[in-house]
Amino acid sequence: MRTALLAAANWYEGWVIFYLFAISTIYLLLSVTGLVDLLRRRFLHYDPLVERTTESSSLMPPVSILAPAHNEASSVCHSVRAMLGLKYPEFEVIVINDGSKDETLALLIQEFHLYKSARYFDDTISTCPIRSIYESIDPIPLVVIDKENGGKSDALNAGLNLARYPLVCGVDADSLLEEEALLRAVRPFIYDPDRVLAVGGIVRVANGCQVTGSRVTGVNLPKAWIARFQVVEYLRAFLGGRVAFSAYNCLVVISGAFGLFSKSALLAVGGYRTDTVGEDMELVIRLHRWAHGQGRDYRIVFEPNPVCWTEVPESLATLRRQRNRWQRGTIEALWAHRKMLFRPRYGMLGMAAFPYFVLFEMFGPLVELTGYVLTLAGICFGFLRYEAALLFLLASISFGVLLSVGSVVLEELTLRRYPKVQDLLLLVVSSILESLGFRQLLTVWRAAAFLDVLRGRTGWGVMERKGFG
Amino acid sequence: MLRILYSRYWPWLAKLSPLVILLLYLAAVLLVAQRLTLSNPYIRYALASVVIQSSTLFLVTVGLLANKWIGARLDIRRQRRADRIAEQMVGFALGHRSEEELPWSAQRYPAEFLKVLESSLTSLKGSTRERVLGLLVKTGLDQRLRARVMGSDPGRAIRAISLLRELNQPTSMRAVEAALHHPVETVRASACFALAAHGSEIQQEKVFALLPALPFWQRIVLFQQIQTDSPALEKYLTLAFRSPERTLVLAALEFVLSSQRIQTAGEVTKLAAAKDLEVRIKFFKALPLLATAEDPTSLVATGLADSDWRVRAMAARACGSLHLSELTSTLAARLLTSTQPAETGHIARALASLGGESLLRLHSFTEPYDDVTRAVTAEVLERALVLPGGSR
Repeated sequence: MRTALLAAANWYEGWVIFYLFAISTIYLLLSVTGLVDLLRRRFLHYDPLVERTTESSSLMPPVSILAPAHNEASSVCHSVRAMLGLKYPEFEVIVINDGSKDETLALLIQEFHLYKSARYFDDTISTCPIRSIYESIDPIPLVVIDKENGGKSDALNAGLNLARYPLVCGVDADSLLEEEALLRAVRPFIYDPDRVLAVGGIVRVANGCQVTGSRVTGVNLPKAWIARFQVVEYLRAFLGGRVAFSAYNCLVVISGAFGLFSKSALLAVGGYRTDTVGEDMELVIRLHRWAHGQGRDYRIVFEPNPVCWTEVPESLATLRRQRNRWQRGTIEALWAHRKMLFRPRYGMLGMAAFPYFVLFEMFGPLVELTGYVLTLAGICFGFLRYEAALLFLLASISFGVLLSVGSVVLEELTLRRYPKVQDLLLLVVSSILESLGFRQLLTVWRAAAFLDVLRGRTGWGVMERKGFG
Repeated sequence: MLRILYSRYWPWLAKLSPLVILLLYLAAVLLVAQRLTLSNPYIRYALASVVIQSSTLFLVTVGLLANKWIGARLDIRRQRRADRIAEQMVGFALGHRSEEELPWSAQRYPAEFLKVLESSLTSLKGSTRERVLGLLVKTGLDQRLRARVMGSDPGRAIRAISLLRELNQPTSMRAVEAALHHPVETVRASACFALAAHGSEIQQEKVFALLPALPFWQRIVLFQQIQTDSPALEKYLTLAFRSPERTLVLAALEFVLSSQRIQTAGEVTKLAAAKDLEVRIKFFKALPLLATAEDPTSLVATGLADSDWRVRAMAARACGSLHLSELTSTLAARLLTSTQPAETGHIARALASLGGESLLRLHSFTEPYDDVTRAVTAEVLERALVLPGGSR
């Protein structure tokens, strides 16, 4: 019995090592695909007139920006001002105060001179009751919905009911959009107006950056290592993965912090689902499913240039809550659409992207964590061959470093948002250090999310923000 | 690199590149594994891939850091040169300095010279701008730019076109015209934009002929470039509105909407009753901007009687913009039968903008009618009364 158990443990360790090599090879392929696509974008020249003139053309499709806010008093005014200052010919900003208990609504009323408006809206998607709708007496396209708390998805659905334009853009009220972000995000819609259903932009870390007048005016790395690690993580998630998935029309996540959608498509799929914390991922998968069901020739695109700056947690407790929620969202979204797995009718999405997400994003933390536990136990109790244990640690660390440094390489070869040599050096060092403890910590938190899903835990948890001031 | 990027084989190469990299990676792992002396093959191959991954990353990182370091230093030098040229150019533009230093700088550092000149054009106006632009000819850089227009580097070609269009001379515009046949689409698009803005009448006619076939994003930019007083434009619009071709009519209507200026249009009656729904919608949207000899009241009345609510909504909008108060009763009747809130909104806004009697009629709808009509009407009235400038 003991021999069989030891053999099983050794076999499992070997399997985990193979798993780590498989995932690093897949990431290598994704990074190369991403690099090729990003290089094409970097060298594909457009007349500077394109940006200058689209900024003022009345033919550009108008956009409704939806910004749900729940207890965002520290940053909401900054964010709304940044949204109102966007360079775009026609847009409206709809802030949805989702039952905030702090000063969010009062601050908005005071800052933007709001009055209770009689604005009409359709109850196309049912939401928690709306208490009042406010508009500004000033000539600014701002609408504020004050509603009872129903969660982010419910707030977005309320905004969707009020939106009057053909494109809707979901934005977090604690994020800062770059001035040209909307113009750049709309590009796929005007380049391919008949096929594009949704566009996701890149989210970058604002901690440490210089913010003047609600705009990021100087890009710097954060001072805290925990935030630096997240810079690397964000680069990895957006440049390493999403660019490549978008190239094959298999993008399954558009960050809730910044995504642009065709309103008619959103209404056709019934808006955001309110029973999940991964509403952004779930919505995109549902859009794919709906479009496939309709037999539509469609595209869901990631654009690496429109930037949304966000403040990332610098305390471990907040970060743990955030990552737990993200992982729960991933599990819930993938579980809800499990029927797409290995279904040839969904093409590359069903046969390659979806299995990748299930195997490596959903189960990845569990596999990695069990590998760590087994290795530690094996070393302590002496039942694991030392080569296997060493190899596992080597594979795990080199896999992490490969992923992170790879994304920094992508950033530097293509977008180059960090101008200083020191920044690049710091990013490389962060990429290496991140794999020596931080990533393992995240793995534990993400694995714990499985237990929470099994226990039926819902809700977002409290997110503490310092604000951009 | 650029040639590959712009070649027609690029999509295939892009798809194959991950596979090629994977094969190279596997080959490297096999090669290293053969040299390792470990007895366990599983561990040997795993270790080989760790070695390959780590060494690749190390080399890439060192290369990247070196490249960044060298690049940063080169950028500083380039910036210093550009600053010096900018200083000379400012002195020349203000008349404090002679132009003698500038040709030398232009010959020695053409890239920096053109960069400075390009950025100066965004801020300079009038005779100073002309003086600075004249430097292109005096330094002989205009010839170099003309040669670049058909070059294989699309970035340089587009940059050359953008400077040549500012120069606006027959020779430069002829060079730009040649770029209409450039193999790269974005260069052709740039040439179209330049000719629409500064080309001769014949060159503009050539661009107008291409218009319906251009992708939507190029039309958006092009419309912003067209000179609204161009005789070629008037001819084009008249012909387009008479044309039975849907794409031609739609492009012309899109132009009118984009320009947001009154445009002379010939006969447009048939557009009000066109078979194509999109044509009817865009026609009524553009109607307030069309200067036509025909009676707008009868045109709008046709639109208000349309079978599609989107056409009716746009006709109502036109009615409000054109202040056709004789259609108040028709609008009021339509308001009561409308089942689409968007249409109701347009009709209500039209009634509000007509003012007087129409506003009173609108006010009467806030009480006894169904919820949607009442709510929409209340919103429109509120905007008309509360907000400066009425409806937004």
